[in-house]
Amino acid sequence: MISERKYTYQTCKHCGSDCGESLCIDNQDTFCCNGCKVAYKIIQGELLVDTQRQNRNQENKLYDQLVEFKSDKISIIAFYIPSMVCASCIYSLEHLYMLESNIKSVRVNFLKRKAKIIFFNNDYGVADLVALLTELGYAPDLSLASKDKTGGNKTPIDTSFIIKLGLAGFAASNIMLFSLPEYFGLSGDFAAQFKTVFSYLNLALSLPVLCYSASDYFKSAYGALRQRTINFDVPTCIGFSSLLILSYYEILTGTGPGYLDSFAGLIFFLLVARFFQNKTFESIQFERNYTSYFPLFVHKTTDKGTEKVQIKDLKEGDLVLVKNLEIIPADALLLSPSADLDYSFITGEAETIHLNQGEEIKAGARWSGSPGMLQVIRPFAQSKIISLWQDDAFATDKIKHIKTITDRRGKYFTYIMLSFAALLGMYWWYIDSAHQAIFIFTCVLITACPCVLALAGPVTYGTISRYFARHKFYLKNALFIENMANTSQVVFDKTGTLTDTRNAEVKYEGLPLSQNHKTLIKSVLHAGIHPLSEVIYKSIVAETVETTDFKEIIGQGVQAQVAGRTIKMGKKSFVVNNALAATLPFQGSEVWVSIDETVLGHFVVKSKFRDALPQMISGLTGLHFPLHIISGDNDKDQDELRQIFDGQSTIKFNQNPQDKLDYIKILQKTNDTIMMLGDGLNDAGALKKSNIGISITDEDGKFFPASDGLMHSDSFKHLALFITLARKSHWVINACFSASIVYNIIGLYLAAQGYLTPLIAAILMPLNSMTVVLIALGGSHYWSKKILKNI
Amino acid sequence: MGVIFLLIGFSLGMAGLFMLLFVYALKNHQMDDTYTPAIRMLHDDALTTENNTNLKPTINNINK
Repeated sequence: MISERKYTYQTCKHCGSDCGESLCIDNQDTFCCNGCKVAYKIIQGELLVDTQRQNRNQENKLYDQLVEFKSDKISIIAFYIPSMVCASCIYSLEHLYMLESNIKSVRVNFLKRKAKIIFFNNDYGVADLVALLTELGYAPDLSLASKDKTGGNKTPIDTSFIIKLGLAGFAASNIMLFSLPEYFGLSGDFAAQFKTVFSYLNLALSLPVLCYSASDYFKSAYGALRQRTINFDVPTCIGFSSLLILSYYEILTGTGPGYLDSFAGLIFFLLVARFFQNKTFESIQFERNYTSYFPLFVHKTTDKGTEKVQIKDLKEGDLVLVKNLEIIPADALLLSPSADLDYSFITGEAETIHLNQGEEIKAGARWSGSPGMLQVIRPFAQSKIISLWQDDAFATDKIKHIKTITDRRGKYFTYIMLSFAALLGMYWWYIDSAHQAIFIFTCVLITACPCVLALAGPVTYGTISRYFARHKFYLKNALFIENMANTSQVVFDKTGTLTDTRNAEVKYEGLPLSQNHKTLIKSVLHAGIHPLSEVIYKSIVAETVETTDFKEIIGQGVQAQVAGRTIKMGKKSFVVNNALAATLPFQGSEVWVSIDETVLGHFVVKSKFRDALPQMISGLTGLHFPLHIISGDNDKDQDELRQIFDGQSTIKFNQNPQDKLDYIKILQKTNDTIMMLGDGLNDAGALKKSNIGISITDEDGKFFPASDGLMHSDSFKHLALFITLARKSHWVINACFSASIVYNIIGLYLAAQGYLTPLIAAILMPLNSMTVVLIALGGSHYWSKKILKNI
Repeated sequence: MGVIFLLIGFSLGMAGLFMLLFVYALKNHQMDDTYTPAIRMLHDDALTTENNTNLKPTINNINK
């Protein structure tokens, strides 16, 4: 009785594309999405908005904290609107002024899903705006986090970095132009005259590059030296400094043209490589924390009635009214007689639990059913779930702790290089002059330059991460490829990661159902709101007829009259009356059915493991990883999991988020690199703590959990291939090192022989960087194509 | 050949001007959104004519 999805080809009335599964129907017209629907109606002039505005003055005031700018006439507010999906949405949102005269204009930033709205505020407010947007299907994100998300003008890539890059490019190209006479070896009086002018121009142009574009490298090197360590930027900066000192000395004394072209070009290439690495995916927000789950306001009840207050203003003892599907804002006691909640944010368990009056409810639980009353016992900031998020795991910046292969190799390379350069320098000082010594020292450093190797990593990681993105695997920073390559253990969360939330399996056990029975059952379920009823409803192939006398007893089940017969569905205790049935074993989530008090049987709803799971696991076992499964669920799936995973894997059940986080910490004690895959909700702490935390998502661009990477569930089965490719990055970087060593030997040989002329140095330097970049690019393209070709 | 110094002045000046314009554009957030403007350009602002007379863009009325 697994659902058969009916699929008919329908075209969108607005844009003409195939509607697919995300069909949106309005009267007779079909649209591919909400955006097309709204846009079509705006164009047709059909859309009428309720002009009878409710009095929302008080709410408007509350929302004022979200407003970016306010004068006595206009206000400006920026909303984060996740439901923006296509060009039609841009159209619809930017033409809001057609619908509401108080809206002056709307500007959409599609990549960030952001809409900046300017409106006249004398008799219109944010609450009205929110109501209008929600009515059109563009509900803005009003969670606690939205305050920071939309505020300010944070760009994904730092503006000052782009300026540094631009400036370096500008200077490098101009310096190279002015160095042409040197390159061609022009001579004569006039040539000598403009060679001098050009040298001074180059000097002037190199100053902003030194002071601004290269400042990050010098700062980083200085920082490392102060902590008495050596990072990769130290030799780079020594190289830069000696190059600059030599060049300035030559120019100011008129003895030569200097090597400022090499300097500016090198800085430019290094910054380009860094740009490659930092190129992020703008529509994906990885920074998601608990504030994204909580609403901005809660309904507080006082003697005067209910009022909306900010969540942070809740105090101990406050009475709070919660409605269906709302998140409990703080740890509280239940005042209503009973309640049904699910802890899906905390444990991943979607099944509801039943609580009675006086029991404690943890913040983060989701309320289901009719409105109820709570009394706050701990303010928001002290609630249990919040303290979890305040774990150290969330405070540390993981990227800073990634020790790349470049860093490790580079260290030895650096010491060897420095000593060679120094030795040769001293040798030439002894037999020639100080000037020659500095020149040789610099040449050795630059030709063999470790800073050239700083190009290899970013280019390789950047290229590979773009290949990942093509297969719907997005990394927050390309540097995480290094951690992927070093992964030695893999940890999975179960719910939402190994299981497919979209595709639950429904089994029926009991007396056979006739088509008539199915119609009756489906009709009852049609009206039900419980998630289980929706799943069963989809699995039954039958018509629906009208129901009467529909009753939904929250936490128990539904009851209705259909065609004169009484149908009851729900918990066993609700449907089955005799004692015998109560001894039947419990299996997953059961929904019992009776018609006219005759028990027919029950449906078993079980979340299904992803179809791709065996393929993914067999790929991973090929790489010999210890695998771990940590689940917030009970152990009902143990047997099935054991069949898929081999005997070596660890499987743990009944783990709460703190347990998951602690488990990662224990694994990391052995200095292993841990990869964690989860859904980013209840395992956010563990994802953050792991060396690389990847969240699995079923939908594009809808949910962006806290993680280092985001993988679409379609690509889940290729995990082993992704790791294999990440490991190949080491191969590529080693190849770059080898090439650099070859240049190094040539340079050293020439230097030792005394053949290292300025011209040869000028050729060797850029040639070295070019070779490294080409190897890095070519190598990563080659391996990416080779490994991912069968996907 | 002396004119080359003048020409170099021009070339540096122009390149510098472009550099400044680039920085100016960047600081004004003109590079923040590289996708939406391309879509926005394709939207027609028809709407005022024919059967939509009751839905004139109100922005003009207000700005009067």
